[in-house]
Parts: sequence; structure tokens; C-alpha cells
Amino acid sequence: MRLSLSKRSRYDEFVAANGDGLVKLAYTICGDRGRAEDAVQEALVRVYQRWSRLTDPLAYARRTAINATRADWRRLMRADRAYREAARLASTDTDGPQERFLTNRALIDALKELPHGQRAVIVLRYGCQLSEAETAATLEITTGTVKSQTARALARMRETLTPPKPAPYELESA
Amino acid sequence: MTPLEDNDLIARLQSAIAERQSDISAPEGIGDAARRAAHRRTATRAVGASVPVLAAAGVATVLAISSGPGSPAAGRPSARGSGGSANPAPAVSLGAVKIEDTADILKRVQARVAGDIHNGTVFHAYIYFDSHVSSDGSLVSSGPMSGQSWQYTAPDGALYTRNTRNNRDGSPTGVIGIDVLGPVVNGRQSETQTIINAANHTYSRMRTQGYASGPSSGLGLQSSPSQVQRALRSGHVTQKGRTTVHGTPAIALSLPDRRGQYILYVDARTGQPLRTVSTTRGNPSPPYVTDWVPATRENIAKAEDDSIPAGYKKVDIRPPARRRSLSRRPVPRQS
Repeated sequence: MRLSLSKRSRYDEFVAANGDGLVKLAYTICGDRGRAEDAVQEALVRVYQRWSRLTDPLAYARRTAINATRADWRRLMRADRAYREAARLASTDTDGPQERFLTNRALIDALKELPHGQRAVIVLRYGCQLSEAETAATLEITTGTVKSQTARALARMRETLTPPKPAPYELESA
Repeated sequence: MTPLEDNDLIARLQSAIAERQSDISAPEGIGDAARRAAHRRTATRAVGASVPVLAAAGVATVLAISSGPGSPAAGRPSARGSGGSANPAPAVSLGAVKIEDTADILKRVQARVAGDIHNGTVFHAYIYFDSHVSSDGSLVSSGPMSGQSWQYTAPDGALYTRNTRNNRDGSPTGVIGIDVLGPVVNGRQSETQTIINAANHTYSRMRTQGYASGPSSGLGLQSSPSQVQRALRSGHVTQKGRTTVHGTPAIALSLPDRRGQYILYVDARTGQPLRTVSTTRGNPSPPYVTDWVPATRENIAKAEDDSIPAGYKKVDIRPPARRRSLSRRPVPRQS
């Protein structure tokens, strides 16, 4: 499967124009640069293979890169969650809630806590500055779903960013 | 605190995302690499998967193998016949470089990682405060570990992970994180997360349940059979040197990794992976080491142990608002 020179040239132009944006998108979603690069490379492989048939290669590449981060994301969340919790508890960080709330790190941490689908919507809407319609087209979902996912994600982030009350609570038994 | 309005949150979020992305760019040549990978996949499908060694010799450039300059492989007796290769690869010359040894080793490694080794392996991942890989492939460490994880996938699919961290002086921080991801049953999966804090003699345990996205295949420890398989398929593999891992003679293979350096240590006789060491380019952190150890009762216990020491008090480490979303029952306050 080889592209003609003109198509290959257009593919090269596509990578030059969009490669950075795709890696930024994948990186913001998965939080790991290496895995983001892997996801984007996988997306570009598929774009290359389907170049002649794609009407919107960028939307396809974004969707493929996002999907490629999904499996890794679940796996990493599982493996790292306990480690991160342990690190957080062991930390001597004494920032007050207000201070933590205002930092970009806290926002990114809250973003990381979102389910993968909601996070993809948020990053496309507010990281890539896509409209609701463009986000819907990229993810092959309806604009209604984009709206509801956005609202849920923002509500969840607000909840996460709200500092806990000091009184300890007990969980139900596992 | 003033409630956060949507517009304010969105503005802050845009700023945070922009800052996070500011120094991120696509690695040079990612488009070419993708194009080559696309060609390789097409070629692999056409040729079939039965001729890896010829492909390695450059016929289809599926796997390009070389013994690097100064490699200990040069001039050494062949590893063929000493292990599990039933059909030793023919000697293939690539220019002046004889690649028989590496090809044989890779065949054994590929056979090992292709098998169902999850159930027979416990993964022990750790980071030293200070360590590096010497030029002959040996891992040189000094001082204590900063943290370690034990991970095991049980025959029923349950995934156990136990994490601990140390202080600079080598003493444990006293905080242990244990994560148990249950097997998939009717498409659903449960997860139990336990945090034990020896500093204040407390623990928390939280159980959640949801729909599984797929079979649990990965380990998230920067080391897994699938990751090694992917690396072996993707490009140049070179022998870095010979060393020992836990007393077993081992060969260090340098695997392709865009992020930095990825070294796989395999049993010199059988090809069984023994250890991976990964470093990230531009990251000053010491290497991330993962040992593949047999799933003995003792090693499994290091991953599975989620027992709570006697006298520890149960607490909730989650903000109340988030906790409420996990449980619909009213939760009593602690007195």
C-alpha cells in the first residue's frame, strides 16, 4: 500500500500541520508523553492506510488517537491510583484548599479524574477549541451527548475541586 | 469559598491545558515512522508471520537486528543449542555483521512472551533513588529504593497491585497502597482500593464496581509481555552486553523506545525475560526497573497481601461529596 507522490506530499503536509496538535491532544488526555506519541503514531498509521478514503483526516486522526489512549488510560489509572494516593498521603504538602484550588496542577488533576469519554470531550472543547458540533463529529456522537458530557464533566470537576470538610467520614464496608 | 462558576472554571481549565501543552510537540519523523509502520503492516500481512528471521535479515525489514559495535556477542560462541529453540535459525549475514546469535535469542524471547506467562509471573517494579545502567548493560544502583510495586494477575483474571514508598534514608514512609481489580463477571468488574497509613495507624478501603472495557491485559508497570512483543516487532534490537540478574546469566537487549532507553534482560539459556529497565529521555529520574519473578506462593503474597494490621482505625480519605456518589446509603459520621 503506497500512496502516489502527490498524496504522499499531502500526507506529509497533514502531519506537519497537525502532528503537534495531535500529540498535545493525546498527551492532555493520557498524561504520558510517550504513550501520547504512541497513540498519535498509531493514528497516523491508520490515516496513512486510509488516506484516499478519508473525507476529514484530522477528525479521524483525533478520534483514533483518543481511542488509542483509552486502553492505556484504564490500565494506568488502575496501576497508578494506589501509588498516587500513597504519594499524596505521604506528601508534606501543606497548601491550603484555596491555594490548591487555584493552581493549574489541581485543575489538571481534576481533569485526570474524569472518565475517559468526558475527558476527551473537555479536551477537544477547551484544549482544541472545537465547537460542540465539531466535537460531536470528531467523536462520532451527537451534539446532545457533547452537551451532557460537558455538563457532567464540569460538575464533576467542580465537585473534585471543592475542598473536603475537615470532619472524617467512614465508608461503607467493602 | 465562593462556588466556582462554569465560565470561570472553563477559563481556568483552558489556561491549565494550554500551560500543560506548552512544551509538547510531535517528535521529529513521526509521520515517516507511521508511514514505515503502515508499509511494514502491509508487508507482514502479505508475507505472513512464519518467516521472522528472513524478514529480520532485511528482506522485508520487519525486524532489523544487528550486533552493535563492540557488542559482546561478536566472537562469542552461538547460544544456539543451549536452550529452547527447537528450530535454530540459519546463520544470516547482514553485511559484515553476523546476526545468528541475536536472531536465536529473539526467537526464544518471542516464544516466551507469546505464551501465557501472566499467570506464571509476578512483576516487581522499583525505582532507586540513585541508579544507572552501565555500558555493558549492568544495572548499577546505590542507596535505597524510593518505591516499589508488586503485581500479579491470578488465573481467574484478578489483578493485584501493592505499592510502597521509602524515604531517602531507606525507611518506609509507612503508606501502603493496595489495588485489587476483580475478574470480569458478566461484563462487570469490581475494584477494591486500600490505603494503609502506618504514620497515624489508619486505613481506608473503598470498593467500586463498573463495566469492564475489555480483558485485563496490561500491567501499567512499563513492563509487560505485550509491551515487549511490541518493542521486539518495531525495530532495531541490539545486544548491549552480558550480565547476571539474580544470579542468572543474562543477556541485555536494547529495544527501540522513542521515549528513551528500554533494556530487556533475558535468561541467556532460555530467553525468559528476567528484567526490564526503562529510562525516559530528558528525565533525570533514575531508571524504572521491573523484575519478572516466578509466581511462587511467597512472591504472590507480596502482591496480594491486603491485610490490615491489628488496631488500625478505618477512615475515609475521600472528600464527602465524592464519597456520597459512590454510596447511596447515608453514612454515619464518626464520633
